[in-house]
Amino acid sequence: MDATIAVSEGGANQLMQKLLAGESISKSDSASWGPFTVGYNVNVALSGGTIELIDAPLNIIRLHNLNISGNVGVFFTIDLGQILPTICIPPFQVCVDIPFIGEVCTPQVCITWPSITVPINLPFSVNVSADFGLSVRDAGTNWEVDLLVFPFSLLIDLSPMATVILNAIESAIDGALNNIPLIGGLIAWLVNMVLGALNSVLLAILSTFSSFVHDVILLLDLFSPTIPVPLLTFAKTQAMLPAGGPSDPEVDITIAALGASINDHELVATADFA
Amino acid sequence: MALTAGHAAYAALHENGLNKFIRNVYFVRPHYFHYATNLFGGGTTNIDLLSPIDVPGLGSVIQYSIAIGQPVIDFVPQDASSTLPAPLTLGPNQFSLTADVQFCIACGLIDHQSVGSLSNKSDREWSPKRLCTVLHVWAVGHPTVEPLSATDKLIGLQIDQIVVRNICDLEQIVECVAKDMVNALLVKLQQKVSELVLGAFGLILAAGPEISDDQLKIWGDIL
Repeated sequence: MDATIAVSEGGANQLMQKLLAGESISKSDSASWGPFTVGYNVNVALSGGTIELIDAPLNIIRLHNLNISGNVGVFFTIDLGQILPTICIPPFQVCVDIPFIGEVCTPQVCITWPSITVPINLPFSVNVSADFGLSVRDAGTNWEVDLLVFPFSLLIDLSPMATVILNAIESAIDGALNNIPLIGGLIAWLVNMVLGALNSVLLAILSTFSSFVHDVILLLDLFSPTIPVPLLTFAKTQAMLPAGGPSDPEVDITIAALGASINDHELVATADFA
Repeated sequence: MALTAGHAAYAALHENGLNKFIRNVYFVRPHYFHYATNLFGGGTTNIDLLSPIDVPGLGSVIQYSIAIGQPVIDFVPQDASSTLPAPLTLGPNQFSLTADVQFCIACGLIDHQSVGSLSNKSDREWSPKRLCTVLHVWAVGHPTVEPLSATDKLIGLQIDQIVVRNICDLEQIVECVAKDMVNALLVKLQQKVSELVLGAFGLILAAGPEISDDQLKIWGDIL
């Protein structure tokens, strides 16, 4: 070999942190569960973790305790008219036919239930460990030392967030109903009715969020089993002496071949020049 | 044994890699190796210009050229095929350099400075008077480091001893000139630390350069 570059576990960790800083993603979707229409947007970022370099022939880069964090921004739109019964005050209306005047009814007001939107932020954070294989790739004008993740277990469970959602929606509905006159005594009962309807679908909603977050995380290149992520990139044409005028053209060295392996807990890249 | 030796990163340039680099410099920037007065083509893209030497008493000058052949670097330990003349030996943290240097002069050519360039003279007129000799040069030296910026440094080589053979009493004079010439050439070949890691990442030099195992080695922290 004509040149050798070696990186310690600490150095590899520095390179990995730079790589992780660029790994973030945001996706959104929406779905309806009966009277609940839910829009949700997921942001995911990666941070932390420590690198362990496992020697050849395994050549594995193990990432311990990588923190995957983010939040699910949720907008619940609730059509209360689909949940709450029709309420009129007074409940009954009496009408009589009066000769020469026609039908005359006692006054009655029926409530039109509003549709309300409740924004809720659901933060999440999970630590994972993952193994990455090491490979060298000819990437056109560059040589890359790439990481390719091995299948790993990723459990995202947002069910503990049920209470946060219930409290937020209870508060929002309570506020909305308090603006409606003459139903003060009924508000607690009405709110419970909405919460009852929500409870019947809440686990399904949270399961959908969890699956969505899981799928979004796996969209990150670092966690794609088919997308190699470059940890080290070497330009095939290395400008060893920059151009300095008409008599001094750039002097290059061409890296004709690159190898990479892990030895003595170091990532070692070897280059052969043309 | 770990290459990084307690540092975040390590880079090493093998003597073969360095010699390939020198080969490329030789072909891309030939004027680093070729010098001549105007008669011998000096002052062109490929040949740096030298001033003719005054000939005392004649009011004339001697036209000449110096061509350094492609040097070959050998990092310690010494290659089996390499031989160094006494008193040169290759010690720890040292390299050797060998090269052929061709000197040519236009002997007997009356080149009055007032006449100006003789470059339009035909070969027939002066080539019979062109005398050349090839000197074989051996040298040993050590790696160098110079500050370049807050985060980068220049890594290079410098020769300490040089031997030019078969020139009898002129040996010391020629060796002095040759040493300065070769060191001037080596300064032009200095490499930034960032280039020695082949651009993979920024490196702040913490240790080295050191020559061993046929390689020029540096250690540092990743930027």
